[in-house]
Amino acid sequence: MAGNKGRGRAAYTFNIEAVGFSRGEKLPDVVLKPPPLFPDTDYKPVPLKTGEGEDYVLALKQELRETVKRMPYFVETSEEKQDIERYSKRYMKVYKEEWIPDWRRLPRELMPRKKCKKAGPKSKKAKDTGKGTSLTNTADVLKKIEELEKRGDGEKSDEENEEKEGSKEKSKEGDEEEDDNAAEQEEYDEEEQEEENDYINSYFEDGDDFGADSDDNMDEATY
Amino acid sequence: MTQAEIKLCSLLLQEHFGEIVEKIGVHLIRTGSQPLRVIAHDTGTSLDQVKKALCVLIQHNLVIYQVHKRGVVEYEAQCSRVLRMLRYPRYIYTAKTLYSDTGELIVEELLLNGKMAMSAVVKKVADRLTETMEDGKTMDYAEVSNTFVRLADTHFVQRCPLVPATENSDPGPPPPAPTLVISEKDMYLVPKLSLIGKGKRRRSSDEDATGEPKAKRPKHTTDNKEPIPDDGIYWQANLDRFHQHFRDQGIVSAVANRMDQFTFQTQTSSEIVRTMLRMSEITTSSSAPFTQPLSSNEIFRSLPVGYNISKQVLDQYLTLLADDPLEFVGKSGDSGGGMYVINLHKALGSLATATLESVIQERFGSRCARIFRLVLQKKHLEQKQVEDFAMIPAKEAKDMLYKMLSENFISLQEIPKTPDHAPSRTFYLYTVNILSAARMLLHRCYKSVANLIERRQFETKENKRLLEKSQRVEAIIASMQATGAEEAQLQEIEEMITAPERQQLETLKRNVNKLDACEIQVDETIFLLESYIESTVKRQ
Repeated sequence: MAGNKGRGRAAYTFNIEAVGFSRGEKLPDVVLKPPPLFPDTDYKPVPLKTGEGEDYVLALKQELRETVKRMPYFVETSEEKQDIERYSKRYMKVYKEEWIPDWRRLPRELMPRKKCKKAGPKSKKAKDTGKGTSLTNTADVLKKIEELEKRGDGEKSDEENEEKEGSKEKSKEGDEEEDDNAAEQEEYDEEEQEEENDYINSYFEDGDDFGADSDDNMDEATY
Repeated sequence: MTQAEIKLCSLLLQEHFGEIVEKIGVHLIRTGSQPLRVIAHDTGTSLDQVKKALCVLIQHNLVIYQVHKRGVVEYEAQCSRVLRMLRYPRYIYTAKTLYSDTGELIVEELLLNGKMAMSAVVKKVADRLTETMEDGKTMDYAEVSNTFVRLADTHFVQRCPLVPATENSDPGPPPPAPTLVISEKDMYLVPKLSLIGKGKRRRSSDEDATGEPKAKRPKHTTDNKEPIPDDGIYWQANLDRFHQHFRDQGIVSAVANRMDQFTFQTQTSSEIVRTMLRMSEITTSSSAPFTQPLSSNEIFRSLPVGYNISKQVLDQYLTLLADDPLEFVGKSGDSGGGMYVINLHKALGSLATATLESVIQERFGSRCARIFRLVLQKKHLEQKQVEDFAMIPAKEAKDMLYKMLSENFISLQEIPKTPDHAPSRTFYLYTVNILSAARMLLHRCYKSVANLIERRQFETKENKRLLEKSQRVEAIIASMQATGAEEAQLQEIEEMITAPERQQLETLKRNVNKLDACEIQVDETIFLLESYIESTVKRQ
């Protein structure tokens, strides 16, 4: 009987006074949402230190921020090709000194792949300086095939590729500079290619090939 | 690495090196040591870009490589070193205070380029100094070399590990990566170079005129390709030595704040402590808990020349310092007029504790700070005891304790009376664990700096259009002034920026300055807490 006293009635196992409020007292409202993002604080922050030294360090910091953007270590993200290439963009590129790391201090695999003097698209496969470059070679070959498809005529693209290889080799051997990523180099060479002719390459190629290819495949006469 | 640290590293890498390097760097910090192919595959970037990013990161000592078995080279990022990039302005300013402009530029070049050969540094710094000098004057290489040698002697710059000289009889294929070695005694050895020359001023015809198409310039620099005499010997800034200097500065200013307010002769105690620290600079390693014992006679001899205090007064000051409850200075013996050491570890602990107290005072109020100091002093206190000792009403004391508890400045220690840990029969004691509180505060500091940088970038991006416009206008004005223009024309151009726009620019500049200054000051707190945590962890 005495044991039934507790049934149906709430009883705490510890001294409720110790927690800080007594039974039946009004408790603060239940929190229904996360606290505000910028809550009001009772105590405002202390003002910043000021002085000659602090001003100088601040100026240094801001200068440094601008300087690092112009250093060769700041690797620009290659932007996607725009629809219309603007002539002025070529000449507004910020001039940056090229940086050549000391290759003796770095692992060999970090060196850009060297290219042999052989011309033609097969030449890329033949070079294999570091280990495990085969995967990237096949990726490059695939890229090459895509470009060949774009250009249409196999013969013409071979010539273009030879020129491309030639210009690449020249730029490599002449300056011994570090390879910018392959995409940038190819973009630059494409521009060069397009600049040399007065006419847009793709226009002519489509015209040349359109009739010829379809004649090969079809038996019917063309009208 | 905590999320806050990774976020901060990401922001710093992005500001310094761009997005590609940031992606690779953050990936390495997150995943640890990885080989080249795996990095390229996991981040989805092309192999060439990964190679370039790694070259940049290795050059700046942010990533190291190791050759594992079967010739696989793995790359590992050093997160703590990346966080140091926040402190570069402070390093440069310190070099300026110690070695004036020449030293400042030397350290700046080394920090901007990661590693450089001495001859390259000297040439570049001489050129830069010549630019700032009056017409006709040039900076001699010898002067710059002298400053460089002094920096090396005081260990502010050090040699990078070298490629070992390979013998010709090496039969096997060359290793996939060189193993760099450096011996302790060679680290500050300056090579015997006879660098003769003067700084060159950039001729006005070479300067970037706005009309000049830059892409037409030859790709290679105008440097000639003669071999440099100290080829292969690279130097880097020794950040540990700078940290030692900052720590010494912190201790001296703490002593000055504590002791020198009450003496008539200003700054004496701090001067004594500064002398002791200077004498121990090279003899004590930066992570030692105590400096080497110094006798009172030695200290007397090494005091700066202008100080004329008698030996007795010095002894009095030393006794006073040693008896101080803060225990910065301790007496370790009686020979030589008394042997004294500086308790570096205790000093760092006191500084960290003072930081914590100050944070609590500014966030929660001085009564909270009183409770905090009380618990710190008494180590473990029950809730009732806190109310009694602090003489604060029960309800308020409880409220404050719980507030501090929820923010993890204070922790609870349970001491059960019975094995079943019943709450009514358990003691709950409040205690302060300085190490964990310091870690928690450090984590908050990293978050703060990340927030500050993000906010600054946001502010700049919001006003990007306006900033670009003002830059264009300035460029136009500059070119017009160069070609000689009338005042009226300049006025007209200046009015292209309207008054409200000018106001907006002013506000932006003020905000960016404030945010930058905040970053710098939070970094000072970060340094203090990191030093304390490092010193404590090493002793365990």
